[in-house]
Amino acid sequence: MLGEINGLNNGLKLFYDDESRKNRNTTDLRIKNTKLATSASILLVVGFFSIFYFIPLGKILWYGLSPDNISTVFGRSGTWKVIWFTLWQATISTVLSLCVGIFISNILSRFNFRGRGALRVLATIPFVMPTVVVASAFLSLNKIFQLEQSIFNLEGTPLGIIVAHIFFNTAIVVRTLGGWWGQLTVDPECAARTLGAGAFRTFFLVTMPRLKPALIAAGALTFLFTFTSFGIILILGSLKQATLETEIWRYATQRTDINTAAALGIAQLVIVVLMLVVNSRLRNKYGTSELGAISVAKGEIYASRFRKTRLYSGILCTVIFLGTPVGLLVERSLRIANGYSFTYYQQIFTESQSGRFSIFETRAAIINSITWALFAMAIATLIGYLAAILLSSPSEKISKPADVLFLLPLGTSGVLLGFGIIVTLNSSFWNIRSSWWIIPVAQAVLGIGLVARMVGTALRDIDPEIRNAAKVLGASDAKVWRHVDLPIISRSLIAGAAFSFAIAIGEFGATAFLVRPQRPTIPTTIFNLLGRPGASTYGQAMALCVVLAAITAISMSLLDRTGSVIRETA
Amino acid sequence: MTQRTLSRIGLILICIVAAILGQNCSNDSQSASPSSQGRQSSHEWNVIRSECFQDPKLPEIEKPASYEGDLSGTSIDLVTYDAFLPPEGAFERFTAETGITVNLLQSADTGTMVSQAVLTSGDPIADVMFGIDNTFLCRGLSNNIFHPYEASTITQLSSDLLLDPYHRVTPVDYGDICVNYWIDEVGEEPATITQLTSSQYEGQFVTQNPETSAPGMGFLLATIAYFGEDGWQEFWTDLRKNDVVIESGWTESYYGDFIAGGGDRSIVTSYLTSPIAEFIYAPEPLDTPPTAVIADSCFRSIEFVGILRGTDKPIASALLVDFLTSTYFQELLPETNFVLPANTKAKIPQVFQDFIPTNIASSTLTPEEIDAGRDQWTEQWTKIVLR
Repeated sequence: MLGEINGLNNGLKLFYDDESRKNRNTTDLRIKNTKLATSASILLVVGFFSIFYFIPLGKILWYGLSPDNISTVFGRSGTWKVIWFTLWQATISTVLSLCVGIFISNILSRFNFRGRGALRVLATIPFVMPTVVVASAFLSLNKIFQLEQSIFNLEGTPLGIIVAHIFFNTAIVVRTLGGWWGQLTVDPECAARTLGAGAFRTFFLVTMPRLKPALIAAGALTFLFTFTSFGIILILGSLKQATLETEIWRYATQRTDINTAAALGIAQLVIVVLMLVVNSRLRNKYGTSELGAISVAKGEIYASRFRKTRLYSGILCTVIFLGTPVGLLVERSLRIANGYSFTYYQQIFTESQSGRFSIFETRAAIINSITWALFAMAIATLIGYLAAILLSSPSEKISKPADVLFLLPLGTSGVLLGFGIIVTLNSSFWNIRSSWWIIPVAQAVLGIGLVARMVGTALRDIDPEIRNAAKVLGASDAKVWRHVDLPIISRSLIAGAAFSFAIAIGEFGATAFLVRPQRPTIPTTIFNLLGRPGASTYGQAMALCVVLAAITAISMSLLDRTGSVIRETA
Repeated sequence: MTQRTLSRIGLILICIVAAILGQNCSNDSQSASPSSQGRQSSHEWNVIRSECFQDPKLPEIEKPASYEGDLSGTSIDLVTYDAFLPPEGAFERFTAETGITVNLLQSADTGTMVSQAVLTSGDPIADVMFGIDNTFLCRGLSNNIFHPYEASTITQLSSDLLLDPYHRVTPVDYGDICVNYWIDEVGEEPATITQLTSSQYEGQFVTQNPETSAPGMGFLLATIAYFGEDGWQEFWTDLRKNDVVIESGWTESYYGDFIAGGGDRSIVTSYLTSPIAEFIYAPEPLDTPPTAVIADSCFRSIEFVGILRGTDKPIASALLVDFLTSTYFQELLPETNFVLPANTKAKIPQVFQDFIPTNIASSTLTPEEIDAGRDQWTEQWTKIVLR
């Protein structure tokens, strides 16, 4: 089967033209099943989103909707200043993250070298580090390199916020882009080079257009993350630089001024919807790659004189940029009064010793974190896949709203969603607002959008002719899915799953603002350790951060391995 | 199936879900109605401010003479702020004594926890709340989130801490927010808060933003209590001239700028018990704590426990309040949470007796003063110190 389909795929590419792609809907043999799948997906996805997102958020935002309140809040000049700052820092952070991300993905998906897997994992680690830890790492970089008085001061300035955002979001770009880039054949580039185009010309005229769909997807995700970023702004900006998200937090939690917070939440929602609509337009325009089809390409690079220099300098830059803050953490977890040792690692894994308390159950925390994250990942991947089917639906009536709706949670204030869940999911027969599984569900709400967007991008580009060919050759629907759809979407699906796992294990968004059963997790334990004085507790917190990074790294490589197994057995 | 039918299905589904949830909401308001005073007038959320210690006109919870047996198997929810650490085995003992299981819930910081309780006033997220402090007390009380109950331990509790005459909240512990300094690094030890603005300590002090940090708020309130409502602004202007550093949270200041985490500043806003924690958690055993506090820089922070109004398990909740203020539980608090017991009969651990300074003059403001002034003070502070 594999040989036949790959052969067909290659054959098709030669005779491929835009017309057949545009008319693909009429030739899809599976149209009946697709419709059934679509309606089932709509039911499940819409139901899930209504209960855990739309209704809770709607109820909270309702408090801000009175005309008086709106005119008071938006009558203040401060509000507009905050909106303006939120917008421009998010835009600049997104553009720069994309640049850095393109650079790193290029190395990862176009070069074959030892340690490529490790580099890909390293690029993902920053994403799960607790914000408070990463922000502290940046603050200490500020001190180590004595940047406070220079123009490169990272504390209380937009620069610090933007650099930290790039550090966090590179992971998103690398994964979204890498999943796509790795599947593009190098033939057009080779052709361009053969015809005499230089490396830059080839990149801007041949590679970039083909990357557009993934760039648009990655850009949207990064914008949402930076637009609603919270911990970074609070710690590095120390409220000198306020964004909508930190203002919502301040009004809702510290001042119990729900009306103002909700009004700001409405502004946030409006901007996010506008951005997603624009994004969706762009996607429809550049939604499918213009040159060449997707195949499961091997990561080969066309011959280049500067290949080695380019490769090694690229790796070096990546490692320095992403590795320095991580390295700082490792150093601190090992540093004791007179040298280095593994004392803190021993301490976090042993129970109470006499005279010193080890009150934190680290082992329980690790198990809880992994269990919840796996649970959230399973929900997000399943529902996210269904959502991706809607996203890639041939009917614009479904795909257009889906495009906007699923990503909304990523652009929504965690405080307001958390408070919304508390005030809505409280009926006497269904009091779930403080049950343990609301945590993975709230985390999955964020993950679904990511999975949907990543998988949707790939799903849109599956050439229906391949499916039809397989059907003609006698494959059942299940077999077609297993041997055609799955291998092609596997990279994106794995990337989506990895990120929903990362979101869950790093405890993003609304989870912090729910009322939850007191079961220790890695982030809450780190937070608790960091909230206490004493040299040992600090060292233990750093050690636990390294453990979190290690768990993430292991999970990511396991997921990557699963992906290659799926592809190889297809 | 055409697209139109599909979109209809979606629409109908949304309506059904909305209807179900709408139904639930109306159920809730009915069940809570006897004592509910409907803060949620039509559209806007009205947060009530500064009518703090008024008679709530709610009957106090009375424990029946004998409740043995009927409560076993009951499970109640206790909500705390996120930094609270339950002493090991304490709640198991409560279960053994009463048959009631305690389900610990954790919220975020105290401000978030109180806001959540205000939003769900009358239909509470838990049965009992632990840890609302005197800076947020009025916000909770004036929004009517607690149900009155006079703890059976009340005669043992320190009378200074009994702030609410209607017993809606019961003091459970107290601690002070104080300016700490690293003894070996500070040079001449500062004796009073006014010295912080002297050139001797230029570039040595790090504190926190009162809008984002509880100790930051405590220190701002300490300066307002010390210098008066018209004098604190000048002190902070001088502090700024003296190169004070402001961080958003305790962690960033203590482990970032302060000597403790490898920083270069020797004075920090922290807690009265921080020197003891430094002593206990030192990597190598020490003879005395490496840090000390400035005696007149302290702000008294009191934490309370209260039964949330609308609970359907008032008696079990009352028993839990008794337990939390009992000498057994109170004696466990210092070593786990580094606070001091509200119960005067509770014995304080030896290490606390050895190293808690006796000359502390902590200042405080009444909860009404704090609630009334808080927003304008933080706004003034932001203008003076950050802009």
